[in-house]
Order: sequence, then structure tokens, then C-alpha cells
Amino acid sequence: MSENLDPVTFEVIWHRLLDTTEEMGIKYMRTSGSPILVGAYDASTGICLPDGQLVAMGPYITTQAHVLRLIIDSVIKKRQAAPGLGPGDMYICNDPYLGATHQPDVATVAPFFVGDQLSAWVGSSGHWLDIGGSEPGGFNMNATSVFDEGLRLPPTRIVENGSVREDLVELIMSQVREPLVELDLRGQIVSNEAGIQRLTEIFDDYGSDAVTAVMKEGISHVERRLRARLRSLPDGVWREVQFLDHDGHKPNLRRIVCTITKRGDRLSIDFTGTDPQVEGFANAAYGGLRASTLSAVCILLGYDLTWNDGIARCVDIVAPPGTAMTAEYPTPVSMATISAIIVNLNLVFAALSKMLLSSPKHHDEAMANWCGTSLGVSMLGYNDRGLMTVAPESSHFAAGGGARTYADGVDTGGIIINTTANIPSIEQTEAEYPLLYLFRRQLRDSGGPGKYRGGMSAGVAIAPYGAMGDMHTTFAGVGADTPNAFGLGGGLPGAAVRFVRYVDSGLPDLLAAGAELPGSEETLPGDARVTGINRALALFETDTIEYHNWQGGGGYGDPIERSADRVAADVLAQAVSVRVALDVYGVVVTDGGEVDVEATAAARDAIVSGRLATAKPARDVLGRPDPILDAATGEPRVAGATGRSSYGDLVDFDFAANEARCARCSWNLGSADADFKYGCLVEVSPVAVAGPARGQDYGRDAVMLRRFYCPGCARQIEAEVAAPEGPHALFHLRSPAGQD
Amino acid sequence: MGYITGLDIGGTFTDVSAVSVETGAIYTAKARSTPWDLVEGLVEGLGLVAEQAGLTTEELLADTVKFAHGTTQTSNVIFTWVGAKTGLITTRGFADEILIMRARGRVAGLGLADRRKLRETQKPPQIVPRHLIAEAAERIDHRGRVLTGLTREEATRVVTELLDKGVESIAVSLLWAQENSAHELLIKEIINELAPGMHVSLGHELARVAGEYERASTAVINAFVAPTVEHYLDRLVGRMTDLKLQAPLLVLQASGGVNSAEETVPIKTIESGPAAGMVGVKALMDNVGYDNVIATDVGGTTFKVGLLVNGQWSVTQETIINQYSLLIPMIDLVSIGAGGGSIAWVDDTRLRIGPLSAGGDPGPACYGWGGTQPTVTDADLVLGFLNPDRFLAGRLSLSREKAEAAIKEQVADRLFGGDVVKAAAGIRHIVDSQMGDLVRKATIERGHDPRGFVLVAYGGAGPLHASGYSRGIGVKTILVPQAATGFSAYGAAASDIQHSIHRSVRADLLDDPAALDRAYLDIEEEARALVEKQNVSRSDISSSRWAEMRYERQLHDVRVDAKDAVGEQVSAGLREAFIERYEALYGSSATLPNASPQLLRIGVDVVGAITKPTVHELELEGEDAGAARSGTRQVFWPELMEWAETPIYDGTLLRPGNVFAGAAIIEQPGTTIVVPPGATSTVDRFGNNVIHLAVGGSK
Repeated sequence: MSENLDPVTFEVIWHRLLDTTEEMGIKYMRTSGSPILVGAYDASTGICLPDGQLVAMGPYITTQAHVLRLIIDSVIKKRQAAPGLGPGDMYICNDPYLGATHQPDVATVAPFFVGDQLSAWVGSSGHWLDIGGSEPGGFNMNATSVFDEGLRLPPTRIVENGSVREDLVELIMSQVREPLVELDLRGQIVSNEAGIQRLTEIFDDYGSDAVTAVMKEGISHVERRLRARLRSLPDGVWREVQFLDHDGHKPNLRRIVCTITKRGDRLSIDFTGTDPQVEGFANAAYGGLRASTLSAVCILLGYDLTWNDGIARCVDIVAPPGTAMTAEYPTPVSMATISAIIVNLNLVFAALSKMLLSSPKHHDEAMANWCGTSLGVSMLGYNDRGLMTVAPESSHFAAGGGARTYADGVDTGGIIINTTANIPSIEQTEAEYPLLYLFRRQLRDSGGPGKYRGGMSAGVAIAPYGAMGDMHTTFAGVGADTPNAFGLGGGLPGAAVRFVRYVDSGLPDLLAAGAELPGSEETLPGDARVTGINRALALFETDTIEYHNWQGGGGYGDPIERSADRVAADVLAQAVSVRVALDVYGVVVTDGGEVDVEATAAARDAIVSGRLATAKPARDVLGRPDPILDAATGEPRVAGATGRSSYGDLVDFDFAANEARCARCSWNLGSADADFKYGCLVEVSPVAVAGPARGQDYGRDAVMLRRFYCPGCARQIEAEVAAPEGPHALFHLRSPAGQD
Repeated sequence: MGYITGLDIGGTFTDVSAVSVETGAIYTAKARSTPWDLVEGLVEGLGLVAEQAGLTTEELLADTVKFAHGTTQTSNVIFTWVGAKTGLITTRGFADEILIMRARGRVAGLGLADRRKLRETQKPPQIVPRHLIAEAAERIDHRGRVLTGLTREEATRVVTELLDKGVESIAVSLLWAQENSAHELLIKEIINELAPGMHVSLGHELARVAGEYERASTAVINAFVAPTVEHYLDRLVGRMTDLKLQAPLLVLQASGGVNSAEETVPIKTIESGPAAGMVGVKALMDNVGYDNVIATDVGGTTFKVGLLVNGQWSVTQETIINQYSLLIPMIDLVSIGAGGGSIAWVDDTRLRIGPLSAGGDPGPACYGWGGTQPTVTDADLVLGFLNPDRFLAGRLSLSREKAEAAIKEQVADRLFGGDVVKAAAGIRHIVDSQMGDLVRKATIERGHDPRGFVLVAYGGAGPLHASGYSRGIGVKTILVPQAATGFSAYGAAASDIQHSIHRSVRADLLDDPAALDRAYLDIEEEARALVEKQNVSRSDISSSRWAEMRYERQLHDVRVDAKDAVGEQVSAGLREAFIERYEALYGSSATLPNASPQLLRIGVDVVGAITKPTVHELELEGEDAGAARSGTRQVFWPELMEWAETPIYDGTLLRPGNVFAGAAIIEQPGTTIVVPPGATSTVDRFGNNVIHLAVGGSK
């Protein structure tokens, strides 16, 4: 704490600042109208220093708050000279090349002045229901440049000296098709007004010097705490690879590569090796890369801290330009949030989890991936009151949680970037939109198998109902060919996205006859057409039923180590099928729902011997680590490193002896500073072995599953989803667990 | 003659109060609650109160004209997860809605800091596991039209399926049953035929509003607690009848009203204790004559704030209990985990208070029960605010040495160069300011100006900290009720019979005042009938209308009170009230020139006034409080940042009309009242201590 700031004053002022960001968030939600913003809480708020450094963020979506710094920076650079910043001004901006994540995420920021001294900023950012452009909802699958996408606002003075520029409001409203957007816009202004009002009171009460000192100290405190946590972790390099399976125009597998180097109290997060940007809209610009990377660090390493730029100070982001994560003007990026950004968040999350799992005192803090992608599903039509409606179907926010190292992932637990999970109720949706839901069900086998199972996702079936005129739908997203929710420590990936249209369903006849309606995917009538996931606006016929499911969470640990009773309970709860129970978990569940103990032991023995019979030495399959790996691990282990560490309860490292051994059977897996996977056996198979809906429905085999076994006891130590070529995951410890 | 007997069975204590109708004399007692059988503790408490009044329990009960009680029975079932084996019947395709919990179940009710601990968040235990959920082939649409009719055979099939699995209680919650209840009613009929006596909770009967998860959750929790709560009420009624009670046995609800045991819906009695406190405050304020009140209750672990605006508390229709949504009317209280037991700890260079609490075990360090973490109570003791020999009416002697040692070791040595007093003053200042932030949230952020409010402080530590958390808020007057503890039993005694009914309505109803007025009259009639059934005469029944509204296509509702929106004026009245309230909440930038207010739900609160204690005014005596002055002691005032020899008053000896200046401390049995420097304290005609704060008090 700085000299002229005492801990009591700090605490008193800090609490009021945090309350302010929360109040801003609540007021924003309560005055906005869009179901995405309010129904799914796709927004956030924040208070920043005069230079834009984030002091504190409000509730809801973390990436939305992380953009504020870059946007304020753009406002300052582009507008401070002219037309200038003054009290009562607010600037609106959604330009992805100036800090925003994608065009539908709009931020409004307001400078706060004490006298004529710029003393702070407040800001709010959220997902608008529509932003104009050729596709409703703002996701244009056909876009080849940013000009094909929606309205792009550079920093624009939407409020001038306390008055809303109604001409600009009208300019915006005349570009968008959905009148509700005006509520989203005014909600941001209300939120910022509340923030300015509270800051005025706080500055009046305590004086500019004290409040400024508190804001700065609030960031420094977080920085110190995170640095201390980093020092307590081992030094090393962890690399993970994630996939974007579709570019908007076509299936097109691209890799995002993230190499984390942790040294002392710093993290370097390097995206070298990531595939180039593509013509379609599934790219992200730098603002999205930064927001998603920092969000992952906040969630895994800063869970007990205030989320602000104290976290950013510990992280160096290295990213070459022109990649799928650093797309350059005018590459289209409108789908960034539900593709590149969330996939990247999960990528960094996976690498950080492996870092945490490499330190005994942090084992519990690692997690398998949560549902790895999001979707943009819009259903358009006139409802039975004659109102034009665009339903943003957002059931997919009930996504599967990642398994913990000591417990299952949460079933339908929400999407990782949102601290305040929520999905709309069926009744709320049917009342407003001309739709009939046939079911919304948790999806059996969608949780990644493991000693601890990943959380289930769900699936939903919808038909047009009572629309005046034709209905249309669009469907955007990634993650159908590839499951993106990877397991950890031998756990398997959760389900991928599936989009199936049941045409010639005969549903109108069923309705006319008052007959029973189908209530599960197995009983849906009609001709099932597995449909590509980026499908532009198309007619939604009254005798078509659209079904889709989203991604489940990844599992943790070897599935055959899961307690057989838990597997039987999962079967009873419809979380696991009898078939997956047998094939993947090696558990025989009787028709009465009981575990057949003897048959289970035999099944598990068979799995173990099958592994030893089929798998091959990893070095024979993977060859030598690729060049990037060499570059990253050019440095050997820390000179003179001694002591021990462990990777979960899976691998033990002895630095004095420079050995890595299987924690169960002590098989020597190589040196302590090498990637232990190269000392394992590996079995390469289609991802479908993890269960149904792992991409097999699309038949492209874009990725494969590599399961690594201990050559001694056949324990499944790691299971990775990998592309046939290119850089792959890497693990390299340079020292045992760090200092406290 | 006659007594009004009020009881509140809390988790730890059962408070009992009996008020003589004739003399206004109040007798109060506290007994230990007996969780294994709450009736035991209740009978013991009654015995203690009867003894004070010079009666036997039978004599007291025979002479009781009103018997009202709040109970923790429902909360006990929910918070221990020990209830009936419950089944759920729902619409085909939607069995998982109660398990999906709109995804929000993972974090519902958690604060932001807890929500960020992603790894630690999870859904609550499933009250109804998946295999006890049965789907019926039936479907109704959003206008209540039947798409697939429910046949008797299908209804019988699903009921039999659950009965075969041995369920003890059944919830039924179908899609859109609030628009067309025929299918739910048919299933109930079949259950009654196949399993007479089995409890059945219907979603649409508990809450006739949209939201399939919320209705199902309400029905499931009601079905889960009902067998236990009904059994408890039966036993209690039997026991009280044996003890000669003639008056009906009334049960307090979370909404602040009471109902007879027969009319009680179990789930609506949850959290009635805090509601009772608000009822008590309102009864008191009605007498004293304050309309706008901030009611604050500080216990060992929780700080609660409620508001009376124009003499009315506000009610929410949806609440979160154990991460489940419940559609029950409940007095709107906000709370944070801050109280006497909150632990102070050092986080890097920060001094943090809570959210961990030492609770009653091991308790604050000064209790000497083995606690080593410094708490707010320890700081209060070190600073001289608490008298170590008079804590809890002298039942517990506090150790100043232990308090000092804990503060020194955990806080002072690390942040204050070993200065224990400075550290203690810091702890007190921080907790006061965080509680003040909650008061600010409950008032300013909701469009109310605290300067027009009197702040009432009760609960063990409320009067001790009220001057601290009022600072900087703009409140000018603090009132500490004569009986600042055990207040909820008094609240139960003061409660009225009440029924609240609300309904989802079609948006276009607002355009048809005649039909809207009829819709209000219908539910008013329904609620009146329920109140009249409990022997209240029509002339004692009053009704107030309210509505939940929003701008067209918005998603967040604003509750609008519209008492006077009747007849042809009903629509105009609602629109006007909405726009006014919306602007007060969100400011004028939030209003949309072209959007029209939309009506979602209408509601009525129908109150049947029944006997309540009248507080007898006392004669004002002289201003001189000298007779009550029991001495002085050194108190460290954070306002002055110095020790001051401070007068101490014995609260039991203060007389109405007494006036004295702060700084001063008033010691009462069970609580300590702090009168800060610059303030003036008086005793009003009802025996309450009223503290007038110096205008423009510092932060």
C-alpha cells in the first residue's frame, strides 16, 4: 500500500467502487430489452483509470469488460484532440479493429472529470440484438470482408455534454432492423450515468487524491497477489492446440496454437504457429484475443481476486499479425465471439490447467474444458400478434461444465465466460415468438467420460408455430466436426455440436389431429438431415423440425477408474448410456440398474489388455517433437533443480534424478524435463470412441483422438484431440513446484 | 381481558411474547429451540412467559385471543435436505427443465465474488432425481389451447409409474398450466383416487404465472416439505388444544401476513422470521408515526435491510432458496454476510472483513471458546463499546485480553505496526462502511432518498453499529425499539391475515380498462374469500392492487403499486405509476419516447385486520437522565480517533422524556446502543431510544 493510503480508507472506498460496477451492470440489464443481453446476460461494465486500465469489472461476461481498456485507448487516441473529451460526454464504439470483439458487441464509455481533470472512465459493453448488415443478428456467413458485415462505429460521441445525440441514435437505428436495439443503446447510457453519478459522490466524499490512489492500489494489489501465485507454480512450458472447424463459408480446419511459458512471476502467452486468417467470418482481431486470453487467466489463476488490469500486468501476449486470432482489417470477424474467442479462451484455459496440474499444491485448481464453443441461432418471423420478431435461440448457454480433479463437471451449468449463467424459459420464448418447443433435454453421453465426468450439455427441438407468414432461420457456430471441450489427465472430450433438420415431419397433421407429440430425438418424425453449422438465412417450413445440441464438458482422469456405482447412477439418471458404460467405462449395468461386479472387473481387464495390445510407443507414432517445440523448449530445466513434483496423481517427477515416473506403477516415462507423453504408449482412434456426437455425424474425420497409456500399467494419462499434422500439445517442466 | 401471544421459532432460540390487551403490558421470553421437535421449545417458552404474567400455561392460552407463530420448520427441511421422497409429473419433452435450472441454478443467489470461483460453483442437490420425474403425453400452448389432450389412461400411467417407485409426495407442473389448468387438475384427481392422502402440489395453484422452471421448482419444494410441515402443524394444533388454546392457531408467512394452520401453504412459511421483524417494525412505526423507515437488523453473521415506504414494505414474488427459484410472496429484504462474528483478516496489504464468520462456535476470540480469529465483536470490545461484564445480559463474560491478542497477532502486527486500537478502529470502520453500502443499495440505488427516512436498528448488534452505518448516507434519525431483541415474536403478534394473489395477463388487457378492472375484481374476490374463511368480517378487509410492468419488449419488470387504480381509471393509473417509478429507478435517459408500457402480471394484497397489540403511551418525564447514568468508561471513537471518557446509561432506568448528548453508551439487556459524538439521544413516549444525528456528519 502506498504511503499516503491507509488500509481502512482503501477498503471503504474500494467497496464502494465495486458496488458501483455492480449497480451499473444491474441497471444496464434492467433497462435493456434484448433477450441475448438480458436473457443470457451477454454484457459487462467497468471502471477504468484515466489511461484506460481496468480498475474493476461488473458482473456477467468477462470478455465484455476486458475490451473497455482498448476502446478507451482508441477514444483517447482518435478523439482527445478533436472533438475532445468533456464532462457529460460518452463515446460509443464497436470497431473490432479498435478494440471491440465483434460488431454486435457495442461498448459505450464515459470520461469522468473532477473539474477539468480527467480522473476516471466508466464503460458498459454488451451484445446487441442486431447491428444491421445483410444478416439479422449480425453473423454474416457469406461475408468476405468487414464491409459485408454490420454497422461499424468508430469512437462516436453519442452523448455530448449530458445530452443524447438523437441524430446519431436515429442514424444507428436506421441501420438496424430490430427496434429493440434502442433499449440496448439507452441501457448503456443509463448504466454509465449511474456510474458517473456514483463516482461523483465517491470523489466528493473522499477527494480526488484518495480515490485515485485507491484505484491504482486496487490494480497493484491484484498484480502482487497474482505474481505471488505465479511464483508458487513450477517454471515450464505448456502448449495446447485448439481448432476452428469452419470458416463460415466451408468446413476448413484451422489450428490455434498457444504456448505458455511461465518463469518466476511472469506468464508469456505466445500464439506463434496459429494458422492464418481466412476469408470467412470465423476470425478474431487482437481485442478478442486479448479479452479471451485474460479471461482464462482471471478464471483459473485469479478466482479469488478482483478482475482488473493487475492480471494483465503479469501477462505478456505474443501474437504474430494476420492469424485467425489477429485478423487484420478488413477481414470479417463478426462470428469471433462464438468461434475464435471462446475457443481461444478454452485453449488458454487448457494450457493453464496443465500448468496447475503440474504443482501438487495446485492440483485442485485445474479443470477440464467447459463447453468449447457457442452458437448463433436466430429464428425470424411475425408472431401471432403481427409483430416482426427475431428469436435468438440461446438454450446453448446451458452448456456442460468441465470436470474437476476431484468432482464431476456441472451438467448444463452455463457457459464459461459468463459468471451469471442463464437461459430463457420455454414459456417466455413461446409467448413472444412463433415457435413450438418439442423438447429441451440434457444429452446423454455428452459429458466427457473420465474418472470424473464432464457436465452434460443438452439438445433442443423446435418447430414453427402460429407464425403470420413464413419463418426463416440461421445457424452459426463452430465445433461440429471437432469437439472443443478437451479432457484433462486422461479424461475424454465432451460432445460436439450437431444440427439436424427433420424435414417432412408431418407435425402440422399431428397438431391438427390433437395427437401425441414427439418428445425426444429418437422419436422425431421426418427425414433427418444432418446440416452444416454455418447456414445462412433459409426457410423454416412448418413441417420441418430443427434440432441441435451443443458441447458437453471434458472429463478428468481415466474413465475405467470411475467408481462403478457412479456409472450405474449415471445410467439411471440418463447421463450415460448402457453402451458407453460398457465400452468406455468398462462397467456392466444390469437391466435392473445394478452393477454386475464380476462382469465389470472382466470388462475393465479387457480394456487394459486391449490398450497394451493395440497401443504403440509414442515416439514411433509422433516422431520427434516438431521445430516449434524445439524452439520453445530450447532451454533445459533450471540449473541445479532438485526436488519433486507431480502431475495430478498421474506422473511423479524427481528432479535430482531427472526422472518422470508413472505415479501408479513407477514405470520410467523419461526425464523430468521432457514431455512424459513421449515415454507413453499411444493409441490413435476416431474421436467417436469417446461417445456419440463427437463429430462422426459429419463424416470428415477432421481430428483424431490420441490416448496415451503408461506402458507399465496401461493407465490412461492423457487424451488429446489432435489434427493429423502441425504443432501438437507439449509439456515441459523446468523446475519442480515453485516457492510460496 | 385477554392476551395476544406471538412466537417466533428460530434456528437457535424460540422467542415468545404475550401482550395484555387491557394494560398493554408486554411479557417476553426466550427458550432454546429444539430442532428434533420444535413444539417442545415452544411449550417451554410459553411456560416462561406465562410465569412472568403470573399464570399457568393453560391459563395464558385459555385467555389468548390471538395466537400467531412463525416457524423454522420449513427452513429446517430445506436446509438439511431431509424431506419427503418426492416425484414430479411434467409435460413430455421437459422432464429435464427442473434439472437444467435454466443454467442459473449453478450460481443463483451467490454474490459476484463467489460466482467468480468457477470451480467451486455447482448446482444444489436434486430434490427430485431424474428417475422420479415422469413425463405425461399432453401439451397446451401459450394461449391455453390444448394441442394434445391428457387422457385418463395417460394420467393414470404416469401416476402409477411414480407410485410404484415409492414416492411419498407428488408435484405436478405442466407447461402453460397457468393458462389452462385442466390437465394438472386431472392428474391431481387421479392421484387422490390411487393414493388417497398423498400430498399433491400443483404448479399453477402455487403461482399462476409464466416460467415453467420456476413453477416446477416451487411445486417440487412445496411437495418436498409439505408432509413434514403438515405433520408438525397437526401436532402443534393438537398440543395447543390440549393446553386449552381456544383461538385459531395462526402461522406467519414470508409475506408478513398470517393464515390459519389449515390455510397454510407450507412453502410460504419459509424465512418468516426476518419477515416477522419487519412486521414488528411496521407495527411500532404505525404507533410512533413514521412512514418512511429503513429497518436494519444486525445479528452475529448477517446484516439485513428492509424498507417501509409510505408505511408499506415491498414484496418480491420470486426468491432464491438454496439456489432454487421460488415463486412465493416474500417481504423484500437485502442482506450481506456481515455481523458481530465477521472475521477480520489480512490479504496482502489489505484489511478484509468477512465473508467468513466465527458464528457461535468457536465464536469471537473474546468469548473464550477457543476462537483465535479477530471479529467485529472483538474490535467493539477493545474500543470500549461493549461492557465485558454485561454482554448478553451478563450471561457471558468477555475477555478483553483474548480480543486484543487476536487483533494484534492477525491484524495489528501486520498492518498497523502493532497498534491494536488503530486496528480495531479500522475493523469497526470498514464493517460499518460496508453495511452502509448495503443501506445505500437498498435506498439510493432503488430511487429512494434516505434523507427522508428514519433508520430503525434492532438485532443484537444493530444498535451498536447503527451510528456507524448511518454515516454518510444522509439519515438524520436512528430509532432503537424498546425491545430491540426478540423483535420477531412481537411481529408475529402484530400480524394480520393476508392473502396475495397474482396472475400473468395478456399484454392487450391494459387497453381494456373495463376488462382489466374485472380481472382485478376477480382475484380480489378470490383473495377476500380466503381471508373471510378465517372469520374476518368484510368490513375489516382491505385490498391493494399492484402490477408488474415494463416497456414493451423489455425483459425486466418493475413492480408498481397502484392502490387507487380502480374502475375506468385502472389503465391510466397503472401507466402513470409505471412511468413515474421507472424514471425514479433509472433516470430520464432510460425512458423511450415511442415505447408503451406493457402489463405482465396483476396482483392484489388482501389484508384482514385482526386484533393486534396496542402500545400504550407513557407519560413524558423530565429531561434529566442523571438517574440512569451508571458511570463512565474510556471509549475509542473512530469519529475522533481518540479515547474519550464516555458516560454510560442503564437503559432499563431511562424514562420517557429523558434527553442527553453523545458521545454516550446505553446498555440494555441484550444490546448496547451507541450515541456518537455530536448526537442527541431522547426517550420517546413509547420507551424507544431516538438518536438525532448531527447534521452533515462526517464520513
